[in-house]
Amino acid sequence: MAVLGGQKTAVKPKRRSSRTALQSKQTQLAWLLMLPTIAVVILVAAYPLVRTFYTSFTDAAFGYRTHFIGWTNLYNVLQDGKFRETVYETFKFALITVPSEFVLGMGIALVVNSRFKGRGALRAAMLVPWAIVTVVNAEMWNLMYNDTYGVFNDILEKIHWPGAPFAFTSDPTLALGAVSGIDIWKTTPFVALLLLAGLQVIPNDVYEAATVDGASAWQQFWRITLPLLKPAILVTLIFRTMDALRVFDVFYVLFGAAPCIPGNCKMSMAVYIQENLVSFAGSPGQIGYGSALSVAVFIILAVIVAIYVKAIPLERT
Amino acid sequence: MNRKIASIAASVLVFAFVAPSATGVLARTAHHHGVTAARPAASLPKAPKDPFAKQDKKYSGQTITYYGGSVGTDHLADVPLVKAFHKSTGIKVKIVEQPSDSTATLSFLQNLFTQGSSSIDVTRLDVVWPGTFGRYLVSVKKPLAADAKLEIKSLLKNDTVGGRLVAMPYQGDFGMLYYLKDLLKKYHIAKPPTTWTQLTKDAKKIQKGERKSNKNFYGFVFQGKSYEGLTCNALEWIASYGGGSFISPKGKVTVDNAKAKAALKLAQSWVGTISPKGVTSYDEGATQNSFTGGDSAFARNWPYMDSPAILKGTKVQGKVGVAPLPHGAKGKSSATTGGWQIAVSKFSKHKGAALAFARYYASKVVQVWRATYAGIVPTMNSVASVKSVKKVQPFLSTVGKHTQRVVRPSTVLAGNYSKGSTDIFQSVNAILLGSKVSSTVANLKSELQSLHP
Repeated sequence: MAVLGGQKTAVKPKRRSSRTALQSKQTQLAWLLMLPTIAVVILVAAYPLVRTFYTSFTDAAFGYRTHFIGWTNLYNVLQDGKFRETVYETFKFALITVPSEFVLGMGIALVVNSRFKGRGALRAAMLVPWAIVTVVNAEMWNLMYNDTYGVFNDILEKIHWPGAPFAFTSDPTLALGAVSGIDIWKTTPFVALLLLAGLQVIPNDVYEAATVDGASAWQQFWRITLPLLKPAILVTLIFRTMDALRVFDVFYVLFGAAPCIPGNCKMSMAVYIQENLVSFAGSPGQIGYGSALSVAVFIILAVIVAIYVKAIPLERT
Repeated sequence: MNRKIASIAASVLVFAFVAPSATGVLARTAHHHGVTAARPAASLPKAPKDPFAKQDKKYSGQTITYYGGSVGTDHLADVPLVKAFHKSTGIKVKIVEQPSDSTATLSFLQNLFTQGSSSIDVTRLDVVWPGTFGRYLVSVKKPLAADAKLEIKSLLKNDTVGGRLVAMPYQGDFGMLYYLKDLLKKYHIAKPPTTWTQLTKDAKKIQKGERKSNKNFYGFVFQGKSYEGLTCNALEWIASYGGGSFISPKGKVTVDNAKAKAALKLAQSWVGTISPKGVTSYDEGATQNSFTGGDSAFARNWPYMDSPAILKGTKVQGKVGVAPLPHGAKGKSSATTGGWQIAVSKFSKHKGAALAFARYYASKVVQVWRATYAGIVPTMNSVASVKSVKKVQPFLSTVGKHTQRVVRPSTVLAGNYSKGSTDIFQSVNAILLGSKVSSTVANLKSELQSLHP
């Protein structure tokens, strides 16, 4: 035993050292295998990001020499009343669309998760709005919203709705609702799909056990479905909130470069960035300023993600 | 009250599945300042040979690159031209097509020129770009002198940057007044209105009568959406009142004057009366839908809408008349120019051959050929009188010759133009939505002044 024990103690350090050699070899291999991925990430994500941060400290513009101007741009972003309006507008848009899509999507997911005849066909049909290209989708709704030949006003007039016809896309009180309607119609299926995927992995026996214990369907939903759906919910909400705050296409198609004045702002943050960074690129300092706006939006989005991850804690498995 | 919207929505839906590409839609929304008629795109007949072939032959064997028309009619017309030019001069021209979204072309050219690249020898330029790129372009004054005499003067002025003629116009769309002949007759209106006040009166009269059978009938539709098209519309109102063009060619901001404000006040009064409330979000497409759907008596649009390809099968086929846009009490009918110029890069390694091609491309014979077979609107009044052109573009002689062509203040604003134009169309859009004219114009004045020190 003693010999054995001695052997053991003698072998142990040796084994450890050989393990570390193997480990370091494996680590090396891992780095080697990850190298292409790292290179691609640096090329397509890190470099543009760093470059945007750098550009935000300059007065870059097409046709002009670039100078380093320090914090001037970021300071001006904080003073930019129009940018603030677009931030409010975009947050209002997100506050309307994300909860609506979540509630509707959850309802649809629960329905198509239950067993009934024609479930497969319904699951396919539910994806139709999401499958349409956003720009085409927005143009389609734009036609339907038209105040003289659009279908919505036609219906409203036929039922003698007071005040019809409405100029949905130009009336400041209706415009945000109009643009949100498009997004909700288009994206609810996506939310439903993500939640459905989450629902499918909840094992059935949990519900069976709950039924045996006498839990009502309502109790089952709050006590079992929702907690077990947490990871899917977090992913869905982060995805949707990010998308809603970065919204560009529906706003751009519906309103173009519409004026943004207090009380009547039809511009999202992304459209404002596009205007400054792309449309005005030939004006002095604009590429620098547009980059500073991008950095500001990046920071806003990062804060939102952090809040979500903190607010919905996930147990590590 | 025929509403085809359900079927339109259905066909869009089908389109979305069959061809999941947004380019068609984008092309329409982006192409606001030079909408080309959608004509049946059969292959075009042989192009004319270079009238200056004798001089140009000395560059025979050289190859140049032309950054030319985008996919569709523009490119289709480029192909036979390049072929005929090669045959008569021996100069080979490679075509690189521009994207149909002109903003993308603008950024590409900005990159190309700031890097001093020689990869493009000749390029086409939107009418609002010469000011931006003037310093990177070769003067075309001497080599193109003969044809320059035939061009519309205001367009040449637009292409003159710092005293140098840097581009040659070859396509020039302009705003026109569309009306329905049968309605004018029905309401005993002898001829289309020549002043904006008359238009307002006529539109009211027709609208009142037509409302009895069509609740959604309006007198006048135009492009009131907050985009480049509104800058074009507003320029026409203001210039036709004798109120200038926002900024004088010398750089003085002129918009804050009584005539300009009178024009804008009248336009503001249209919204919700003779024009739908939603006109503040109308672009060319919405204007076209309203007019061809028989829902409006008058419309402002580019020449493309007056083509059989667009009107055939619509409710208004055979009833459409065109006239010069109305003017203010003492002003002149004014039409904003949209369209394209051709220019030679100063970084080109084959400037002689490039200038020869530019001269051929903008020459009268080629403009006649292009107008006749590709439906592209020319920039020389003498082209309008050619028989074959008259047949396919009658509006050139009935409207184009009787309207003063005005240009947006792009040459004076140069790289600042898109910012200036955004200030303009956002202010005018706010006015149409009810903002006070005097304070909004005063504000616009200071915004424009900050752009032009």
